[in-house]
Amino acid sequence: MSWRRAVAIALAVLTAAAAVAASRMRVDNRLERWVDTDPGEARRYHEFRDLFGSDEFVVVALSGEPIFDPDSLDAMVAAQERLEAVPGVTRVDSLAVVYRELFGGEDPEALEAEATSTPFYRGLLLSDDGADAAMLVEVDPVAEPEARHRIVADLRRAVEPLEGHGFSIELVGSTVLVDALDELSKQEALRTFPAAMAASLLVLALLLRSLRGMIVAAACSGATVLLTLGLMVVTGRELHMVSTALPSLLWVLALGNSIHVLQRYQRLHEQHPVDDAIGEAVADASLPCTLAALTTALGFVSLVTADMAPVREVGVFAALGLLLSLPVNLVLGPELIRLLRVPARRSVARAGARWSGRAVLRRPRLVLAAAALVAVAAAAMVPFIRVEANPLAFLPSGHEVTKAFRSVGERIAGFHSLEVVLQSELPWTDPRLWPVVDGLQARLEASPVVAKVVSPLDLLRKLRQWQRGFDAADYALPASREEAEDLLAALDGRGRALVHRLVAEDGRTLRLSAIVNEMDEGKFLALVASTRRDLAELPGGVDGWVTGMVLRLVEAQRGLVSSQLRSLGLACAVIFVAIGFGLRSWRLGLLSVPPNVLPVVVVFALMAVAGIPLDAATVMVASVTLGIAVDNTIHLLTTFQRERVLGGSRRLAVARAVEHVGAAMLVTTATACIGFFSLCLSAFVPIRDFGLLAGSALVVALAAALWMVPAMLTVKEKVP
Amino acid sequence: MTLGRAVCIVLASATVCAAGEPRDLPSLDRALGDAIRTYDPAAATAVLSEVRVARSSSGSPQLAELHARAALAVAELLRIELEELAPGEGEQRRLLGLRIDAAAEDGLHVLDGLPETSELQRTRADLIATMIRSDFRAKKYEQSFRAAVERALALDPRNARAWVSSAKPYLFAELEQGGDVVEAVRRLDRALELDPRLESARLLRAVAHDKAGDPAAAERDWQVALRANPQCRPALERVGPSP
Repeated sequence: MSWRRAVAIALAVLTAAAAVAASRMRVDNRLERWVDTDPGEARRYHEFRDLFGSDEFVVVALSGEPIFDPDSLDAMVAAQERLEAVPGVTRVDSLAVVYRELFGGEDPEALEAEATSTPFYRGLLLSDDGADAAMLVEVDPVAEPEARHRIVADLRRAVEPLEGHGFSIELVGSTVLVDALDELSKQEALRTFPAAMAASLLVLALLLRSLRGMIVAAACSGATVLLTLGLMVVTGRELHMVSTALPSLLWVLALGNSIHVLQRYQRLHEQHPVDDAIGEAVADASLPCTLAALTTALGFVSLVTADMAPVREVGVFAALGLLLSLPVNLVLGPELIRLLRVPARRSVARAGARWSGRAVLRRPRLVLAAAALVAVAAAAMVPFIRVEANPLAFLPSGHEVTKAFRSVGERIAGFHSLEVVLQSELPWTDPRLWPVVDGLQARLEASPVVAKVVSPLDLLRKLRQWQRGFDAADYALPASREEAEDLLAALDGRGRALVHRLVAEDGRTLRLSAIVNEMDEGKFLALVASTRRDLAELPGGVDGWVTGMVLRLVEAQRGLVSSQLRSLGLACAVIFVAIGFGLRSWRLGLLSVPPNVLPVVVVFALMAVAGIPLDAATVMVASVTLGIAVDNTIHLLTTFQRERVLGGSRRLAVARAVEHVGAAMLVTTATACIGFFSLCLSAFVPIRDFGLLAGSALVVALAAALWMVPAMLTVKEKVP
Repeated sequence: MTLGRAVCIVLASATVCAAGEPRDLPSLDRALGDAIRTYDPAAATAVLSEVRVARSSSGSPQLAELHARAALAVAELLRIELEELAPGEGEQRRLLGLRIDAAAEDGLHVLDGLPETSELQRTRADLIATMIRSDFRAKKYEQSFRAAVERALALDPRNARAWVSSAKPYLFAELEQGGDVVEAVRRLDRALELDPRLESARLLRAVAHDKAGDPAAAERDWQVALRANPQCRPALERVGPSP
């Protein structure tokens, strides 16, 4: 047995094992995955959690029935008890618990007076008009995806009986959102990959005019995908909202090189026996395929400079996948060709490539002028790209979770928080500190995106009111520190637990929790900026900072722009050096820059024009586009170099190179584009945008490779 | 007149009409004693109904005093039923609450027309106590409860029932809100010194011992209460029938 056959069999066995491992792939969209960018921020956030507990909560919004009706309250109390019994729920705050604990579950009028006579509950547990209510369910922040899904399902079940009482129920909050993302990405992984595969195979079969050829290409791409997913599972990785695109991505990328090998084989097999044609095709394609795979892998590797761990992970595994595709395409693929006896066929793309090459070679200056115009126009649009930081925007606008967030935000409460931590030299019960805290609270509440600020001073006011007999007139701060401390000393265990969610054990570290009812990044960051300004102006002896899971996520996303530029710059440098090194010509290395940078600039322009934000998924487009576009250029330039060695003018060498590899470039791009465009079927917005952008970029990349490269190579030669 | 009281009077009239010939004062007193001993709120309610009807034609202070005691018995026995309700039975809780409040208000109304005595103030305190079923109600009624207890003890420091009433806040309040099991036990000891057969003192002391972490002492009190009254429901539920 030849070594090639042995390697091919080994790869087939490994692929089978990887398929078994890949079947155990899990999906995890926890927000924590996205925010390990700033160790200082992470430390502060963990310090905050240690001091005050979780800031992750689910809001159960109730509407459609009179809240203070005895039957409604009974139903809410029953729901409260079911919610409290859900595993993973650490605390439930609602009017039901107030009704149960303070009013013994039997004085609805008194509860209504308590709930509506002061601002304490409004914007948090009760709407401004008193018509809608919310139950705040704090959940275990370390919940795993399955546990989270179970919690959300259990929460829905726990509140379902309320619908029987006429209530409309909506669940919002980061846990619900992440669960929806989990579910959607799972569905999308199952939907977009088969769609991409089917579309690619259809186009491939049509262009190759060979079912057996298509089977070889599909087997090679499939093996690459399975090996990569298996490797992810073995190394303990999971699919997340970005990496769900990885199977489709690897599918089309691996397909490129297998098509180049196949096309070379088919052309050679027209005149040579199978074995000779295979040997010649592999020898001919090895350098360009290796160089193309390496440069594309380097493009992906450049993502390791991204701030977000999931993006880095995609970069690493996409690069590993491409490296795995090399032995698959150059060893397993040829053995499959031999096994299946793939017939010789004249590709329908050859005529198109030949016509394209001739047209460009007649007017190279015009082509370059048009390209320059496009580049300038596109570059002018780049500054208008917006950076998105709205996880809600990952879901389609009609998704029930999206609608629930909008509805709850408008009517009742917020669904995430900006946490402000104050540290004072004075104990929090000292009245000298209160104007500072109240002032900050008032400024936070002045923001249109803040539904409510939960402050320990409001709790103190409420304790005073309760202590004095529930009269709303007594909802005021105590007259002295002694009175405040007496109020706190009289608290039972439940009351103390409530205080400790807002005041740390040291009594000098306070939490103001601004409940935000808006996912718009601009407005949220404006709130953060103004709060940071306010904190910078705090009087001596008081220090403060802002934190919170959503803030960390937003700031991590903001860091994506610089991260993107950094990884792109690195990718450019590495790729073009690699091309120059691989072709042993720094001139060709330099020449490859414009036709490969142009698609990237056009992609950015497209993002700006279409209003597609730079987010967790689209952040990959530039580097990926660069890596893929460079494949075409490498195949063209290596063939051009070989033709030049054979003699004749540069124009002749370019024409022959385009004729030899242009068809494969067309087939590869058409197949890849179909794969990417099929991602537009995804309901997952970032993946949809990514598919659109990457597909469009490949069209531009093909145009640049087929038109710009020949034009640049021949622009100095006179047209005969 | 509250809706609850109106309902009580209508029910009372209906009960008396159904029962036929009215009973005399000693019979009613005995019937009330039996209802309390057997923890039977329906029997206590029947007595209360009869007393109400009887009072419409008699201004006897003894009858008025019996009226107040019957109202207290009804309120306290219903309160025991309310405490036994499972969480979430809000509608039943509210209905029972209404009946307790109606009985308590009825009793308090009767007491307003009687000459002040220690026992009257003690009854007032206990009637108010039946209405304290939540933090909100504690704030609403706490002051008048304490005032009545203090007055009862000031008028007669040997009123054992008043000592029992005075122990309740110490027994049921949280530590931070003045709860003090040791003080509760001390007061209940005093009540039992004055009247060793006082069942309510014995039962509350058992609860207090339990709360203080002395289950053996609690067990002794439960058993004594059960021997004195084999139908004592709290003791039966706690330790089962005596051998």
